[in-house]
Amino acid sequence: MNAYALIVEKLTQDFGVDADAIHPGATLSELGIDSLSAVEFIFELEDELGVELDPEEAEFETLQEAADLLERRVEEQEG
Amino acid sequence: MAPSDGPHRVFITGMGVVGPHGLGADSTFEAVLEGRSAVTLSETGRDEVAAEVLLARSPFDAADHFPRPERMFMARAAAMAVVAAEEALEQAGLDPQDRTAGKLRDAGTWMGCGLGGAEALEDGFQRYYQRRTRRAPPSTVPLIMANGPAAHLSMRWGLQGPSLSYSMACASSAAAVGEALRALRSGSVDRALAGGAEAMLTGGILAAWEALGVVARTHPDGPEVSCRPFDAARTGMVLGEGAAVFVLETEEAMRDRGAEPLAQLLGYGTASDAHGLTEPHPRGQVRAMEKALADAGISPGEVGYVSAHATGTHTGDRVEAASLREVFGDAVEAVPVSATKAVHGHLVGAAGALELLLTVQALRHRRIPPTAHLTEPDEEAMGLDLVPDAGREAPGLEVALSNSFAFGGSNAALVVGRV
Repeated sequence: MNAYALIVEKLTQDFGVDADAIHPGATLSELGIDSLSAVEFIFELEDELGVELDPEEAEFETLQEAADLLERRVEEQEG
Repeated sequence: MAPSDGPHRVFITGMGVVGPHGLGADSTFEAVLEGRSAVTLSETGRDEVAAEVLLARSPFDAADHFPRPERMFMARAAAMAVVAAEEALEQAGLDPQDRTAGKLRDAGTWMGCGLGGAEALEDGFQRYYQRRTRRAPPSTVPLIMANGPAAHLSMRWGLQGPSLSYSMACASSAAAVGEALRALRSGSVDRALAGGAEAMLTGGILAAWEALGVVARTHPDGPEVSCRPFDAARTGMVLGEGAAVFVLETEEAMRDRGAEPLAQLLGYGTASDAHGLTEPHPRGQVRAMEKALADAGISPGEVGYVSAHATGTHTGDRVEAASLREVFGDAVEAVPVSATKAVHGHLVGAAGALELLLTVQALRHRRIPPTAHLTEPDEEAMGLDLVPDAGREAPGLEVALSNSFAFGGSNAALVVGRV
């Protein structure tokens, strides 16, 4: 499972973000994703991966941190 | 220009529609004038709740107009409203791309909507009750809210005046236009987008409408002729969906930028039946019409056309016929009255706006649309000039009245004049 690849795919295909602007250190706000879109973004990722992040643990700054969080949660669930 | 003390004369300078006959005020009017029905037998629901329902669906697909990021928080009703408003702004000569010129900055938004994002509501229920999850998409609330259409218009073009939504079922958008007229007339704003939007043709909601016993049955001659206002063989209404939006301006604001009017919005009246939730009563309808005419300074004898609310239900059409007799008296037989819902169905929160748009077209072109599928008028409608069979020329048409009567007993009537 490559959560980062899924994040990139979702940002470009569903959230209208230019692929050139995306890098692991980018934050959602830097990419023009407002707070409402950000919660929808996380919700859709969770839905597609079949996991749920606790609100406390869903804190991340960069796309890479989000990917790491999601991958950890998938592993915990599978394990 | 800055708003100033009223009363100001108010004009319609642009209008647009997305509805059962597709996009465009001119093509929609042509279709309605020809009596071309948009009613079909449509599949709704799946599996054990699958059913065929008579509907006037719009061919509109939001994906043709908005990329996914824009659609994400835009319900079908709101998307229809935005596309209808684009047409209206373009016709008015107000550049929709130009948010900075100030022409739109101080404008307000007055929209009617009955239910908001019905599809998001139903999807939310499905997740909760069927998939047994409390996880709802964060977009659900922004999609459901009934002021979504008004909010999207305000945000899209930077309209910083009032952004108001009216929800009184079938009279929502007529009231929205009427309340906008009052604001413009008073001088509190000098430009507005006003109208209505509705898109609630989802399986669960249609089942609820059917439960009321007001939905038409398929006519032996085919689904397309099943909505038959004022006809003795009528069996009920057919639900439709869509949006219609007007650009309204005070005379000064319009002249200031050298714009041309399509029609003058002359009067508005609203009144309550104070009677029943679903059963109408003539007293509220009569008061609404009389108030609208008085507001316009028009006598009943000067009205050259009435766009009836007439949905095709037994009670509704009968009561409206009685109300028209009371307002127009002996002269009622001389006033052409047509019920266009026969071909575009009942757009509920957008009905009044769509029918006002058709009424404006009737004035501009001096052509009156027919009451389609009317073969044998009901006893109560006998003697009324219901414009059966085909539309007709109306060379002297100057003033028209458009009626919108709602569940809950809310009534709104608008008077519009040729320019």
